Amino acid sequence: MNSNKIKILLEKYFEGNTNLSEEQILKAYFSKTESIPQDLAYAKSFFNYLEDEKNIRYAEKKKKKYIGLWISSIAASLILIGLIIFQNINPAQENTIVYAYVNGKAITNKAEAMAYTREAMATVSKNLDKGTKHLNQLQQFNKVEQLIKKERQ
Amino acid sequence: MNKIEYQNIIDQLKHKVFRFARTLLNNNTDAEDITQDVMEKFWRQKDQLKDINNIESYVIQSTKHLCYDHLRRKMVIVKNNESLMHTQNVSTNDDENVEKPEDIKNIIRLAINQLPEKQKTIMHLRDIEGYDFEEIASITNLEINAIRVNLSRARQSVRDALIKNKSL
Repeated sequence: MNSNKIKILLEKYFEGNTNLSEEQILKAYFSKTESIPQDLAYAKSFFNYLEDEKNIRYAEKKKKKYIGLWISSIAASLILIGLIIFQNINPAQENTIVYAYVNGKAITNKAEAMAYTREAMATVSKNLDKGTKHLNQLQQFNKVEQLIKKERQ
Repeated sequence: MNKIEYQNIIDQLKHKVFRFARTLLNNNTDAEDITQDVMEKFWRQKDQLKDINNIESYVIQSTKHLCYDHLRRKMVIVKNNESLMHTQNVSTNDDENVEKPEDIKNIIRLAINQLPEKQKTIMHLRDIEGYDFEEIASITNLEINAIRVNLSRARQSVRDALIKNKSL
């Protein structure tokens, strides 16, 4: 197609009166013709641009927004899985009651715990006896001191 | 519509949706978001879509609505920030707003971006996607005559921008 016919078609195109097949002729002309008259150079740029835009593809987008959520849900799942596994590995501990800790050691046997408790009570009362004995001596001393004071008056 | 049918339609349409959103929003990231939104919306509605005889124009129409809404929201944000931005704009005005197109492609992109929404929409649908006037009418709810007028104005504006640039 010669450039005069193209110019006529172009006028029609800019008036909005070309049909799709005429527009196809224009696109083909500008994409395939090597030597385009200088006064039509603008139209070549124009149709090249349209052709480039037509070939743009949508690249599946990574869901950036949800990455944080993903990481935290994975972390939460791992912790949960870890807990379940841990409980399955140590099933004995699940139903035992720790009655006491003696020097950091857990006592799970009731009788043993009782024994430790009695021992501890005895220690406390023995020390309490010692304490009150000295307190009696002190009271004795106080009485004597007051007697002396009275006599001086 | 089963999953395979849906996937086929989406595979054909997603590029069109993306290109359309890209033209309307002039921003790749926003266009990607809109494309994703349109596809998700389409998936949710897949059972009701049996009755729609032209799924493509329905999807393109949804894209148009979502993009227009997006632009409105952006405009509100810009307006709300206008007083705040004003002082900053004075200093950066020369760098950002004055067009310094590096190549012809940018001149064209800028010219298209400055078109009124309606013209931009119609020009994209016709000159990039190659829709016929009836399809454009069903997407835009405009008379074919009005479509021709808008298309002609849009094409001429871009042409004028190109010619003007050459004479400079």
